[in-house]
Amino acid sequence: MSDHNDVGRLALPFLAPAVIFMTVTLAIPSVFTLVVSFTSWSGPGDELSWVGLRNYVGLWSSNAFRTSFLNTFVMLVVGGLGVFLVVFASLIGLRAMRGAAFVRSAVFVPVIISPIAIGVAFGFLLNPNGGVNQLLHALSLDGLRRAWLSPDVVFQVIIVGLIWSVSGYYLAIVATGVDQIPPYLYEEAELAGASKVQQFWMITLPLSWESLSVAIVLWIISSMKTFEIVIAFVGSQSVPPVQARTAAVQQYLATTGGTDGNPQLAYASAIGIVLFLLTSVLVILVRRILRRDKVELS
Amino acid sequence: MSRRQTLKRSLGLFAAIAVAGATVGCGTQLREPEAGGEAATITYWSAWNEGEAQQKIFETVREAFTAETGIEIEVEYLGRQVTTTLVNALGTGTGPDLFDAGSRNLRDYEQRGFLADMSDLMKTTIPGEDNTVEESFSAAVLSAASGEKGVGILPTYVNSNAIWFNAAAHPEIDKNPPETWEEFIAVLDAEKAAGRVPLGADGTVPGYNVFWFYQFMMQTSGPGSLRALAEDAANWDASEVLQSAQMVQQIVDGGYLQADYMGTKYPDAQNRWAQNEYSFILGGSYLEGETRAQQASGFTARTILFPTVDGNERTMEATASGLAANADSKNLDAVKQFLAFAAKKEYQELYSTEAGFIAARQDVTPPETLETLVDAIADATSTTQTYDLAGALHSAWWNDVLLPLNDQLFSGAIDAEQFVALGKEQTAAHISANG
Repeated sequence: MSDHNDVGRLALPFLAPAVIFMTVTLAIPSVFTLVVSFTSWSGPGDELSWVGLRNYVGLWSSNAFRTSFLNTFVMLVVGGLGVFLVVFASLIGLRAMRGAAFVRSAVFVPVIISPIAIGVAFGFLLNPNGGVNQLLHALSLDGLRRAWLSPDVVFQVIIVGLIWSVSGYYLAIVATGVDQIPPYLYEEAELAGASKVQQFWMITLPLSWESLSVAIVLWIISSMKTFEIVIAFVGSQSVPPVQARTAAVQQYLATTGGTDGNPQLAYASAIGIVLFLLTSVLVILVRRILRRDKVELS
Repeated sequence: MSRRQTLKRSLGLFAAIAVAGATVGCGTQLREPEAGGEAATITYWSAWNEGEAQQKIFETVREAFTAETGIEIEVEYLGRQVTTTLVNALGTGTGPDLFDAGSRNLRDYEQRGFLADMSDLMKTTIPGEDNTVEESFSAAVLSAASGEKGVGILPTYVNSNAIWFNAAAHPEIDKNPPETWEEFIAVLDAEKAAGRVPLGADGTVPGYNVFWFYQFMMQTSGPGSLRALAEDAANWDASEVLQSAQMVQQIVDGGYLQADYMGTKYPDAQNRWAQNEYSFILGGSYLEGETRAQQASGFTARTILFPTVDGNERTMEATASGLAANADSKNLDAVKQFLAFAAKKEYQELYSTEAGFIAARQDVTPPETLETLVDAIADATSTTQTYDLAGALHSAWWNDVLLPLNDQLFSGAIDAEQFVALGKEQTAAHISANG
């Protein structure tokens, strides 16, 4: 018997705990969620009854779900553009700037602040008589004053808040790739008369493509699950207004019943399945679009 | 065990695993209740947090009960997030003996088979008193503590809903409160003419914005009418629905609310009301307690009852909260012994004196701020519970149809006619999609 076979036989007992653990905590619950999404079930203690595709049809015809779904895509695209604009601008601006490390840390700070604290702070700033409107008044810009937290405006404010709170995280990921780029490339580019922006497009972007791809995929996955920031801005005193709901918020309302209701777990499962499928499709598509031959840095 | 029960148990077990981390993530020890033995130990998962008045009240009752009977009560103070854990545990047979429930979730828990029958407890004489448990509560409170199958909890306190004002600033209203909608509007007009802001509202809370429409529906059509709007789209055709929406529009168009009220984040408006910036605010019976630290000096919070409409009898909200017993508990006798003990007046009145709530027992003197409300509930022949149970019984419709539409009406984005038309249309779509 060869050593190779011994290793093969040994692999199974070593893998078993992880396989069993993942089966119990991930595979079985996922299958259960899929099964439940075809039933009518409010949760443990309730009778399960088979309803086929009714929950999915219900999602499609629900104005609230369609809005929350559209909001999720707006969050993904507009928020994504905002986040990566901040990332690119930071990378261009921070190159060879004194105190760059400090700025990078400062941009990262919002990532580690609790969303609850963000909610309180923004509530204080964005209330009708809050800091933002007072500042606009002081600058004689009363025409720009808004009820920032009202249902029609709050979603735009949430997107800005999200960009502010997560950009540092994606900057940190992309910057790990940028840090690997040898400085002499930039020195040569400087000598050749390339501007900062040209250096970014010709050196930084192609040579940090791997980490940028990872950041974009992570952004897609996390933006499809946007939840905390919405609750932080609208508060947990009641249900968020439809204009500010994301698919994850809609799923949470179904899971809990909201502040005045009771759980509807089958409906929540259907939302979960739809979200999972869409996120998977998006990630696969984006991975294909971003695929490139790796540039070797020797 | 029948096949169906086996299936239910297996599914329950799956569910316990499937609902991520619900029963393992909260640091709660889950164990089978002890069967028999010497003195039983009762387990209780509480929705209160350490340090809250209700938690202190429970500790007082618990210590007295253990000293008297030798029966221990193991408590986990888990806070409001207990609900998901609790539902999963009760559904899989691993729940506590005792838990919190109220009008909002009574029917849901009853339907899931979580609630022990309370009829024998209701007939039990309270230790050291002459009356039974049942006799210590008013009809309105017993009704609020009941589901389809009778009383489901030992009620401990009651929430209601009223218009709050500062009696020190408005002694004339305290002496002679407006009774009808027309009189109330006249008061609002007078406040506005005097250069004051008549009404405050934390407009970012849809559940508060809907208080107006809910109250108008109760005062025009009575209990059952708001939840009926979820049950059949044709119910939107009733003239009272349009009338109720028109009265909400009257509040909006009248300019009685503070500027930018829809963008006001809780608790900004109620705190400013407590600082005398606004004359009135419509809110729950807990509002005085929530704003106590913010109240201007000399502030005397009082309520006026929601005005009557068209001479109809006034419908009062009485929403009960209390303690429920697990139908699967192995310690039901001990649990009911505890509940009868907890129903004693000396403990029930702590909800009034310590927590500032309306105690469920009818012979407890309420806090002075809530006297008007308590008297009205005691005298009411027409009562309802939280949002007419529309949110509790039709959660998806409530969250996805009514609250968003009401926000549009309350913000002035749509008028009463549009509100009714859209409500009917969206309710029909909701019913056809969800069965």
